[in-house]
Amino acid sequence: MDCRKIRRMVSRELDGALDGAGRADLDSHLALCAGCRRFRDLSLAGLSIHRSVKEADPPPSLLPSILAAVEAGPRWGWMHGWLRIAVPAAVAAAAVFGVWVGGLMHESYSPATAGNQTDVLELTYLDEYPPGSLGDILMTSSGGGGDEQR
Amino acid sequence: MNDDADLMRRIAGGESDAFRVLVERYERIGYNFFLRLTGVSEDAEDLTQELFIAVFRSAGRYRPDAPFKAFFYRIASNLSASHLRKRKLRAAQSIDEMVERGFDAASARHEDDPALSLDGREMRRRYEEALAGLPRDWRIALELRVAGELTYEEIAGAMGKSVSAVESILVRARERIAEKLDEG
Repeated sequence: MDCRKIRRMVSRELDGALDGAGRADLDSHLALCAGCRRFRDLSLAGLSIHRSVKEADPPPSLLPSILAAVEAGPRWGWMHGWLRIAVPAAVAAAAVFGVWVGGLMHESYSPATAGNQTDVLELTYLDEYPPGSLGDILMTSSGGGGDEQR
Repeated sequence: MNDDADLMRRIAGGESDAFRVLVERYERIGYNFFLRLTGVSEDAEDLTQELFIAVFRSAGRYRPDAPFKAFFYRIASNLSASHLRKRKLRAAQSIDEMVERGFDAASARHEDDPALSLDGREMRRRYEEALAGLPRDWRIALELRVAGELTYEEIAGAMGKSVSAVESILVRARERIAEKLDEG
């Protein structure tokens, strides 16, 4: 077995992930290979040093500062539970409704129908002065422009 | 449902007491993870704060069937990688300076240890130097394995890599460290 595979096995051994068959292969190789034995010894020493690093105490101010940061963070903090679903759903529904209304308005003001509507409105307007109203009197006294159109 | 998952469920439901319990439980772990990787206590403090804010904000997305430890270290790994990348980009902070800063936080805690022989101190100094000189992904993987005691699968999940890639990283990291320890 080549040394690269053995070093992989040494690494597994350090991580407690080497199976029984692997151990037998590893031991027989190590008995013959000084380079891999050295690698294993140094790796074990390194692991021992790494594990011996004493844990530091976090500064006492850390906990309060974390809690304060969360409190002061973006005000999405209040949006929890069912609100996390309800609020975005309501916003989405409002957007869809807005697009739908916008579509209807756009349709009713399209250039093709807008021209016709103006005509209709003007005709209706001239037709609809009630008899005796100021509009009717003015139209009559001005020469009956309305009558011409009628 | 385990205890941590229950805490996360309560945090997602807006219980601030549950968040406080979670911070008290994992604050030390997070702080030491960052301290070992950055070597600077102020950076470790800032990153720990960022870590818990991210945990709080993503509580609603946490899946209780996954171990909380893996979820926690995935966020911590991303923050570390981002921090180490930025630090590397800063012109003022060379690798040498990183090594020096590493000594400040980690090795200094052993300097006064009378139980350590001169050889022991020298080995430790070399080890710290070798660790600080590793590529950031290698350091993170090693830290997750040795200090975090994550399995290869959990490390792969935390770092977004395959199990085989994680194993290769750990072997290469150990080879590099062994070379440094063997020097001199």
